[in-house]
Amino acid sequence: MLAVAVVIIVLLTALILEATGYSMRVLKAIVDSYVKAYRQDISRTIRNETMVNELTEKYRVELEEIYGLNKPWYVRASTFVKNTLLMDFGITDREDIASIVGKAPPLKVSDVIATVIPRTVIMITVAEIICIAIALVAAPRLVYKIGSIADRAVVAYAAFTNALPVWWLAMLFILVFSYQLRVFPTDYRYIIAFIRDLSIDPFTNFIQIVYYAALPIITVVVALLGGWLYGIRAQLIRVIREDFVFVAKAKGLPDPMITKKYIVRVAAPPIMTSIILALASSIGGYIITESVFEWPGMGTLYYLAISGGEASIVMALTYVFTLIYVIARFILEALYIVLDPRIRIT
Amino acid sequence: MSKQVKSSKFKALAASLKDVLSETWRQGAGKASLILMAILVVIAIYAAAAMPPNFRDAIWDNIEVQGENPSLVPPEWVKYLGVPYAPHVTTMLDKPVDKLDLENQIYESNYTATYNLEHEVFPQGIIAKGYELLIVVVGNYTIGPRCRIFISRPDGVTGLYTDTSVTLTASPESAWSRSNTTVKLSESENIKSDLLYKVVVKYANESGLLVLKDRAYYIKFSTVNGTFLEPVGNVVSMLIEDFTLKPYKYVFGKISSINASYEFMRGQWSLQRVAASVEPLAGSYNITISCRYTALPQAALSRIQALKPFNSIKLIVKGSAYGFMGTDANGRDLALGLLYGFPLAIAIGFFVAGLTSLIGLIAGVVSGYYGGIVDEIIQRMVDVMGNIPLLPILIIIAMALMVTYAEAPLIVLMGILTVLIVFGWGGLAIIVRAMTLSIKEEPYIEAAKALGASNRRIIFKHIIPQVIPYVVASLVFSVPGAILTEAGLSVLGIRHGYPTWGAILSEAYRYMRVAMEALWWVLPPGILISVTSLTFVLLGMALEKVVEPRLRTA
Repeated sequence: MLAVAVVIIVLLTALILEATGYSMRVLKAIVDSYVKAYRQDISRTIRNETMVNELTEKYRVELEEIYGLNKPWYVRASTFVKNTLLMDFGITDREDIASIVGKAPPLKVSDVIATVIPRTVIMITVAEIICIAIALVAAPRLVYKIGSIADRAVVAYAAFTNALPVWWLAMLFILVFSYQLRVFPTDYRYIIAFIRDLSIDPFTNFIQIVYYAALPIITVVVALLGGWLYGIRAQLIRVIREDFVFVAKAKGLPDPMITKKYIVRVAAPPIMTSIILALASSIGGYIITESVFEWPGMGTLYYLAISGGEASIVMALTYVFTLIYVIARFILEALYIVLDPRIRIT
Repeated sequence: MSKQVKSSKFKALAASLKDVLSETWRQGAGKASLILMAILVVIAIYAAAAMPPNFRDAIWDNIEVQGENPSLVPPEWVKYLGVPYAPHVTTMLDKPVDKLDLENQIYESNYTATYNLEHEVFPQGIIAKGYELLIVVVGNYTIGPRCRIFISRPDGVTGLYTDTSVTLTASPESAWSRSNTTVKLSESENIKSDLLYKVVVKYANESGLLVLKDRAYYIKFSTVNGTFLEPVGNVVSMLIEDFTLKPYKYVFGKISSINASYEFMRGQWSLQRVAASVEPLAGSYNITISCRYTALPQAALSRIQALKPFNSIKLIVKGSAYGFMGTDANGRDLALGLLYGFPLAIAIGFFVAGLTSLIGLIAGVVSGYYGGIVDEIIQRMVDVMGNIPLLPILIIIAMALMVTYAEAPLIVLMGILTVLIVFGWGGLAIIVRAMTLSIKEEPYIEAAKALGASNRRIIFKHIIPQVIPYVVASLVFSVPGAILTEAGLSVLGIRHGYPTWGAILSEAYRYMRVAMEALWWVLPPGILISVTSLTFVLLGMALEKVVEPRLRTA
């Protein structure tokens, strides 16, 4: 079933890119600009007008062949789908995409994604892990004090951050901490060099990476922590109201034991679901927040690929995201068997 | 019969909604959110009613309107925080003092205004526009006035700022009527202006310049490498227009020092660069706009005097603070954009949330009640939708729309919202389906069936009234999602053209390096987005407690 979903999603992405003519339009614009530059270039040396026209036209046909513009959209779409499903993502020669990778084009798309993923992991996944860790420690303590000031504060904080766009918080934090107070850097693209040189000089570069990643991580943690606290709290509340918890209390079992054996154990499967799925989707990056920080991660790559009409990368990224999601679902299935005694392998 | 069913159906719906509302009102958060919501809706309705029909093109994106405002300035009320400022003053001048000299065939009308600069802060410039110019036709020629702006400064310098000969084309038939084009009187802000010359003369001695006619001669100057040089042999000179001072600087400033760098080339000194440091000059400025007609028949001049050349002249001194919310880098009045963002945000939010909930409700009830193949299809659709990365798809479609329909903002916006709706109903459908499944098994449904009730009657009479509170809670919860997504897409550069809060933020983000000091630009739209979302989140939480009593804390 999940494999079918992967195929459908890849198909759908290809359809949206090609059938709307979007990718075609962007590529045409690119080819036009190359052709124009080429024409200017050769007309400096060649005076003959018809010859210039001939050469330009030849160059155009060549380019259209390379970009596949001479084929109808369904042929292009189906080639994309086939290649993507076979993990053959192709090559990109875009300057802007190469610049966020930190190398010169042309680059293999699989290499591009492989270099960009760690950056997103450093920013978004690390932030998610911090949030989850804090929430897992704090939420079980809150459940016993429902209605207390701390509990109400958490609910209010969750409601507040739920209404707060992460990227706006990012803009605000950059404005205040980077520009006004000058505590954190303003240009986050330097992270490319620090990650690349990590093996050469691990200590200095690691310090730099921490310095550069600090504000993005703080931003994401501030924005997401409320949601995690509230979510895990809600899962635990659902359990704490169950009869068997009352019985355990009536038996006089100590609170830590009730929490551990009667509440967390029971609430574990749904909590684990949200944790695994959140970690999986964090690898995909936050398109808008990363763009605001100009963080050269998956989100920025995705955005550049979409806005530049680089269909091969869009397809590859969509495929990778979906694949990661599917793998996460498999891990979950396996975890359920461990976590929920009612589920047994049949 | 059918009418009765309908009315009782609505009664049941209304009753269940009324219960939910009164329960919500009893909670603290619910009360707060309902009050906030009422405020939002009132402002939105007011703004929608007050918004000029062609707001976007006529005001928001109109370069003429933007040009009349200072750019990137804080709100006017910062003066109460003790921030020094130059006031923004708009004056409509319509009572000229005129002078008719029939002997020399001259008619002149003078408009005077005073501008007080209390603090030492530069205003951003002077703009004068003439409205409804009188069309004077003598013989076959249409004749316009020569309009000059004189500025008299607090340090005693008085000079000519601009000199505009108004030309107009009009047919002889329209003689002595009024033209409906606006005449710009402050356009010829040329650098060689008389005022600049006089200001330089006034402050030249202090900075070591000798000014003769339109040339400034240096007596002593510093040069490259910071060494101090005396001129050798050749006299070095420079023209007044070499002072690349912005008009607002020499109009409202005093020159504190002039630095010129020279190079000794081919046996003589030649000018490389002139830079003057200018400080604002506080005090009272007199601005006179003088419009004059010459060499016309006496009858014509008398008639001009009777009718006056302009109906009115708008004189604007662009201040260093503007309006209630300040301006952006283009000079847009942010107060207007923020105000008209209210109805847009509410409309976007409710449109998407309403339709999403409606589709989710229908799909869920149909899926749960009828089951079978329909159920299977709907559930598989929800599965696929739930696994699709929405934002990338949204960006692809929005970009495609933006490229294709650059001139039709409504289509772009609607396209984005449609995608949100199409991919948004899955979650609710699952919940509604589950509820329908359990309600379907209740004995009273069986009883209703036994009494011969139709499927339609059971759905409308028994299922939907029970499901509706959930749907309303989910509707309220999904309102901020649409608003936030729209804003997020704007920040990514997907512009549909409407002045939403997201669009304002996206502009601020584009000018991030410039806007880094401009908190008045970045904060308010974000706060408004957050407050609006927070209202719905709080309301949603309160509603959730009503429809899901297990979540109640006390």
